[in-house]
Order: sequence, then structure tokens, then C-alpha cells
Amino acid sequence: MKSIGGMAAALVLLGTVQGAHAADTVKIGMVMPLSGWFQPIDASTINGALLAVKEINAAGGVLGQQIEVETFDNKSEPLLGADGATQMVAEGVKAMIVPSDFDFGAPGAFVAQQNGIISFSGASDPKFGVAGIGNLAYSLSTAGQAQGALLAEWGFEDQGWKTAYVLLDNTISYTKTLCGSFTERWKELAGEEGILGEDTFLNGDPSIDAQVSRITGLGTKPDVVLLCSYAPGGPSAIRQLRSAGVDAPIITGESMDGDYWAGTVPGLSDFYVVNFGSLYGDDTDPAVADFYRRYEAEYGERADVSYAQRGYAMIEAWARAAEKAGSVEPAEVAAALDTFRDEPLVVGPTTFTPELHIATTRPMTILKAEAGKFSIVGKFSADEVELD
Amino acid sequence: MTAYAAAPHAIRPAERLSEIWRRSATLLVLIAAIALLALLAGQADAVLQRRVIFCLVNLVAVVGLYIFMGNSGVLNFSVVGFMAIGAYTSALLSMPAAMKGTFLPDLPLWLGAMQVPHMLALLTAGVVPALIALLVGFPIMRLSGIGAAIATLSLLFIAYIVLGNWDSLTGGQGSLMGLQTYVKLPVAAAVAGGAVAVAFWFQETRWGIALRASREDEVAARASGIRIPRVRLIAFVLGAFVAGVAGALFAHFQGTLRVENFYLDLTFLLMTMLVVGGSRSLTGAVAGTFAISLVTELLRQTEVGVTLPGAAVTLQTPAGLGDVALAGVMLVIILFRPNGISGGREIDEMWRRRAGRKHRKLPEERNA
Repeated sequence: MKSIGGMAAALVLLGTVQGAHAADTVKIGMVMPLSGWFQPIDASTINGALLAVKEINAAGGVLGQQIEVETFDNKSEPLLGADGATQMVAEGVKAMIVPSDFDFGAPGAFVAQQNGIISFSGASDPKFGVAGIGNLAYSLSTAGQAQGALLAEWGFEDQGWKTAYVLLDNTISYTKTLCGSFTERWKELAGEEGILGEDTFLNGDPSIDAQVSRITGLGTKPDVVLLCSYAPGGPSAIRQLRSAGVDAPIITGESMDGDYWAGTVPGLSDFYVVNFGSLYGDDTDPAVADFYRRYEAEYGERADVSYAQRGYAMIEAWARAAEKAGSVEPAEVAAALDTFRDEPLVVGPTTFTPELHIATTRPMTILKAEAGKFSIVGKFSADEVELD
Repeated sequence: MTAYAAAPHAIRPAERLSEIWRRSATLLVLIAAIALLALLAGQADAVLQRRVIFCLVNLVAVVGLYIFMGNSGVLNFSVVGFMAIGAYTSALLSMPAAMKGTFLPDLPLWLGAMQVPHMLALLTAGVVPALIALLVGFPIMRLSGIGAAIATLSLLFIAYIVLGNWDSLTGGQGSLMGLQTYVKLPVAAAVAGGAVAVAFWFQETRWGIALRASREDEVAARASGIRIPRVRLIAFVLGAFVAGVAGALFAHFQGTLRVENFYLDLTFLLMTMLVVGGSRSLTGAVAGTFAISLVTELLRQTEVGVTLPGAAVTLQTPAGLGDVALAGVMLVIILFRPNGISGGREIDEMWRRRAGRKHRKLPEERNA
């Protein structure tokens, strides 16, 4: 107990020392997984955000104030995020960044909301916003529903595919949303018979033989297979599909972004993924291509996933809203954020309204893998997005 | 623990009263300890307060675990399942209708519109698991040893899978948000004190004493006319009630609810708390919860890195040490002090034992 008392005293002391020069700095909290299994997923988000802080500070800060980052490791345990957010509130942050998943980010965002602090996440679930958390929670991602609809429209209209097979990894809500919204939109476009079949597996399944043989046993071969999954289960599923002779194009969402897993699928080809931008140096948007060059210069390595853009955009959005509002106070910054209409951020044009704090019709990037190498196909956006 | 009937001579009323007074010392000391902890935490910073509230919520759950497992000696893995049921019960009864509309759009209309006062929801969160425990406990309480342990483990699995897949009622694997966070220090401390009092009351009743007799020697207890399945069932149902309340506290402390939180990790944590403290006494349940909470918190602090005041040294341990240390503590206790910190004794027994060492050996001295 003695040492806890000592630590508490030290914390208080630290707080007052930092409070002394609070006038020329403004604090942003980062309640993120710095260790544990979620750490690699959000590593690029954190790096992106830190790069934005560095660049904004170098350019004179926000309203003349330097941004100071406070971090808390939630150890990949969602509930520790609430403790972290409580600590951030005590340290006087004006906004905080929480993990890029609704279930992981929500506990911290909830505490932030209750204390009148803005929270940013890269969660692709529209519940991360007004309806699920409150008017101070913002997601820089594109809604999972929009990604599914986008893939359906692109596949049907641009690629001319007519029949699809849907393979769902039934373990996280993002994959369910992606497959669900794709199926709904595909049926609108191609009719009920456009879906040749739907099947599920679990990310931890060592083998999906049964699911694969149901695909190989189909009377007509599907034009495209939608795989809603993530590593390591997703790459394993692709490997099994390919080795069983399923050579139809495979398409998937942002959860399989990056090429860190591509080595586990020898000669990965005819594979398409939707994400926020090409981190392979060939993005058609010069701002994005330039962002990845600066990222590589800063960290000495390429970003793992395009979530780096979301991380950068969180700070970018906050800073721009603060400049618009002429204040760093959360309520005023939030009011300015709600006026964003196709605001050009590094993650893409971003619209927030008082009712909806996530992008839906923002253009996203589709990448293609041939022989294990990814390159950009183009930027596309969904015409019609149903959020429910 | 000795039944009065075993005393060597008839008990005079005055002697009986002083005996009751002496035995109640345990309850008074435990409640005083909880109150003291809550008062001290009231002075601490917000994060440490949250840790203490979490410790008190865990205490309620450990007491729920103790009521059955401690008194009967039968391993019980089902407590976290009952916590989950309690948590969802309270959430469904008390979430604002707007939040239910967002997270649980498929609820039946009457349930979607329902919003009862917190205390009623908390009580129901105990009653529903208790009723389920009554139903499933009826056959399970006839089992002993490994059979009973596996049966209770199955209950945990069933609760986890059903709650995790009943999308219309629980939202499946997703999180529920917007639960009112009314569980602050006073509420947590009051309920923890209440749970300790209930457990103490139970172990002093004839059912409690009969159950402990069956723990020591099943055959002898049966021969003495104790209907073991019945006394076990009473404890199982009461334990499920307390666990359900603990689950509701957990949910309304965090403000978010997710079935993932009620599974093996929490089960292992609660088991460690009870075993380290000493599963054979209520004192052990409380001591173990406090001890493990303290160890976990200190380890978490050192993982972050602690700068010692007045010294230029930062203590930092590798991330992930916490879980290893927890398992290590459990191992050391099992090896060197199988009856836990408390030695399986209540506080009054410890005092008497010390007094007995000085003066004379009490006839009821247990050779545990």
C-alpha cells in the first residue's frame, strides 16, 4: 500500500509540474494497445498519429499550441481502456485516440464521452459514433457496410462478375457486417440467384475442407469468392481454396489489408482487397503517395497496413476542426467536426454530420495481388449504402 | 468448524451468547476491512479508485464462488457463467430504450421499452441465475469430485455459447453500451459487505454446518443423516444469486458489456483469489481477493515502469509478467500452503488458536 501511495503522490506531483506550462501545449491522449495481440493491428495507426503530431508541431502547432501526447497501454484488454481513459481525463487531455475496433475502443470512448472529451477511433462500425457512444465519438474509417456495398458494386459493374460465393469467418463483427452488406447489395444488383452459396467458418479452424468441397462441388463455378476474414485464418483459407483448385478471384475488405501475411500464400494471385490507400508507392492520389513517403522516411520502414492513414487523419481532423473553431475545447471542436463536408484528409474526403460520425460514400482504394505483389487498381466509392 | 452438538458438555445460554459474539468477530472484522479499503480509496486518484471498485466487484464474485465451493469442497467453474447471466439480466432491464434500439434492435417490444430502477434490476440479476441454478443444480448436485467439476465447467461453456450467440437478446459477441455506471465506491463496498454477511450467515446455519461436515467426510456426513444433495443445492443456488449480483455490478461498473469478459480468464482469476486466500474460510475468500488484486496492480504498475520517489531508478518488468506471476503465486500457495493465506480458518479461529497455544489446547481444535 505504501508504494501505491508513493506512486499516487508521484503522479500528482508530475501532474502539477506539467500543468505549469499547460498554456502553450494542448494534450491528446492515446489509449492504445502497445502490447498484446492487438498491438500489431494498431501499430500503424499509432505511428500515423504520431507523425501527424510531429508535422503539426513543426508547423507551429494548433492555434499556436504544441500538441503533447500522453499514452496508456491497454494491453489489448478492452476493459483496461476505461482505466486509461479515466487517467487521460485526469491529465486534462482535450481528445483521445482509442483502438480501431468497436469492442476495443468503446470502453475508453464511453468514459471520454461521459467526461465531455472527444474520442477518435478507426472502428468501421457506425455504432462508434452518435448512436452507440455519443456525440463526441468519431470514427475516421469508412463504415463496414459501405465497404461491402462498394465491393459488390465494383465487382458487378466494373468487373462484370455475375455470380458470387460468400465465405464468412464468423468471429468478429466487422467480417459479419462486410459479408452481410455485400450479399444484400449483390442481390439487388444480380438478383437472388447471383449468390451461389453462403458458408461460414471460424478464424481458428485448422482446416476448412468441408467449406472448400462445397465450393468445388457447385454445379456452376462462381465468378468471384468474397472472403470476409483476417489473418491468420483468412490467409489459411485462401491457401486451402487455391490448393483445392478454386481459381476464381477472391475479394475481401480492409481486415486483410497489408502484405505481411502474403508470404504464407505462395504465389498469391487474383486477389483483391479494399483499403484506404496504396502503401506500395503507386497510389493515384499524390497526397497519399506523399504521405507514405514521409512515413517511410520517419520510421525507416514501410507502413504495415493502410490504417496509418486513419491514424494520421485523426490528428489532422482534430487539428483542422480546432483551427476552424478557434478553440481546443471539446464541445467547440466537435461542432466544427460536424461541419466537415468532404473535408480532404489523408484518409480521403470525410463528411461528418451531427447524426453520423463515420464516412459512407467516401472513395476507397482497391488493390490487386499478382504473384504475391500488390498494386493499385483504382479508387471507387459506393453509390448506395444501407447502414442497418 | 465444530457443530455445537459435538461439544463435550451442555451449553448454558450465557456461554452460547458469548460464543455467538465471538464467532461474529469474523464478520465484523471483514466488514470493517472492506469499509476501511473503501474509505482509503476515496482519497486516491481516479484510476486507483477504479482498481479498488474492481477489486470489490471481484470480491462479491469470489464470495459467490466460496459459498458453494468453499463450504462443499466441490470444484465449481460455473460462477462466471452465472455472473454473465446476471449482467445481461440487469442490462436488459435497465438500459435506456434508445440504446436498446441501437444495439438490440430485435428485442421483443415489451422488453425493449422496459426500464426498471437500478436496485430492482440488481436484485433480478441475482434471482434469475439463482432460478437457473435451482433447475440445473438439481441433477448436478448428486455428483461428486471430478464429475461435479466437469458438470459445472459445462455450465460455464453453455452460458458463454448461448449468450454469445443469442443475437436478438444479447447482441451476440458484440458489445452493449450505455449501461448506467452507478457502481461507484459506496455501492461496491455496500454490496461487497452485504455479500460477505450473506455468506457468513449461510455458513452459520445448520445447512452450512451440514455442508461443511459433508466436505470433511462425505460418508460420515451421510451416516449422520445429512442429505448432501439438498444442502449442496441450497449453497449452489445462493452462490449463483451472489454471482449474478456480482455480474450486474461488473456491467454497471464498466458501462459496457461483452460476453467475452465472462469466460476462462475471469474464472481463473476468481479461482486464484479463492485458492490463494484459502478456500475453506470466508476470511480466506476476502484475504485472497485483496492479496491478488494488490499483486496484480503492483505488477501492472511495474510493467508500465515505476520511478521510485527520490531515486533515479525506474523499475520496469517485461510486459506479460502479470499473468505468469499470477500463476506462480497460485503454484507456490498450492505447494507450500495448501489451505491458503488464511490456513482455512476464520479470524476468530485464528485468535483462539493463538490463545490456545499460550494457555491450553481447545477441544475443538481442528487438525486441518
